[in-house]
Amino acid sequence: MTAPADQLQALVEQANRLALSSDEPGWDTFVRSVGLTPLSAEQRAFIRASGVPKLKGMLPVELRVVLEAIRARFAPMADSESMKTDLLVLVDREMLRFVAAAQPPKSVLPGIFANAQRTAVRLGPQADSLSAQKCTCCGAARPAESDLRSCTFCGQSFFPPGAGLPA
Amino acid sequence: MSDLETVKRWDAFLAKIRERVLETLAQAEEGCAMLLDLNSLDPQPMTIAWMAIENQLHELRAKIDATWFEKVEPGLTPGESVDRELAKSRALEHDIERLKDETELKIFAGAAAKIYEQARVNLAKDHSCTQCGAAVPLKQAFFRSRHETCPFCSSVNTFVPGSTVAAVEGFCVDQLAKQKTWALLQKSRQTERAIRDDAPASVTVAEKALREYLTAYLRARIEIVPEYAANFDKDLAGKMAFFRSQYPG
Repeated sequence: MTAPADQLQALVEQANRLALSSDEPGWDTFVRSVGLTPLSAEQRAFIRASGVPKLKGMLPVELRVVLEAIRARFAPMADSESMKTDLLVLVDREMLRFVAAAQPPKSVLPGIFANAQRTAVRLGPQADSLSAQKCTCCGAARPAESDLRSCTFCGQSFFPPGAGLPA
Repeated sequence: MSDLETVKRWDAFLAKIRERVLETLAQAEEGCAMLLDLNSLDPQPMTIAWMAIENQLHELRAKIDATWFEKVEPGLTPGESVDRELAKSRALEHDIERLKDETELKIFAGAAAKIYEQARVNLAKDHSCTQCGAAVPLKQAFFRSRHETCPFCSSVNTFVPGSTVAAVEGFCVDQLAKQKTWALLQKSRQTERAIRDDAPASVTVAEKALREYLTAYLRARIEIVPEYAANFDKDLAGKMAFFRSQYPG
């Protein structure tokens, strides 16, 4: 038969593992197995909506209640000084372990997006444009099918000399 | 340290690298989409960010090799286990490459689809002749500067595409065509890898797969920009000539 200390450790490990997972049905079954009633989906949603820190897994308060229940169950079975000491610090120690492991992943791309945003070269106008070029001498537009390089009406060139256009 | 202990540590290391790659790619997807929106669909900042992310993934892959040669191989008894453990790293490296390619396609084709959609909306907007004010309908599948004649006063107007419309040819066409022909591209890459592994008759097989991919890819481009049809044969011949220059005979 397994010693109470080993049973305690196995149960605590299971509690921590399930609390860190997203397996809600598995967690609920475990909560029932230690003699408690799991929170309903509405209760969980209500607590999450109240602005609790975004941690993965189950709500920390659920784990705390479960750990308290485990401690209460094993307290009468504590057969050594070390187990008694262990039970005293069990809840706080396991809660700290859970919170540390449940932190959302840190950004693995530090600075990359900010740097790209800061250094990227932006080219060209943002908006489409449509415009009829007008002669700077007489103000006429360029009719279709005409020579678009010079004004059909007054002969003024539409492009300054040396603009690299064919003669 | 025993072989068992070395293998255990090696497995844990590979799992950690894999986890880091998955985290990187998930954050890349989210961050690149954010950069695209933040810059009014300009893909340039997102492209720069992706290059840095690729570099980071390359470093992770390099870490696998370095750890193998420095710590794992010397810690194993020569024999079968060395080959088995080395195969694990090769499998992970291939996996990283595949995940990177898939994420890149998702990010870039996703961005291209968004930009292309907006470009079509922009081209469909009312544009007026600045000479007489009449509406000038624009061609929908043409994304460069051009002259448009006013149907009312016959004046020539110059259309200059904004950055979103201009990005269709500069960015979207390639990404969308690649997405459409992704399976063929994978097959082509796979057959080309086989050449490097000295598989018999592999050059002919790779050439056929490449031709099949390029034909589909170039046709997918033409669906977006019909003007490209005029250069289809030339484009295909050019790309195939490049392949043959790499694998003569």
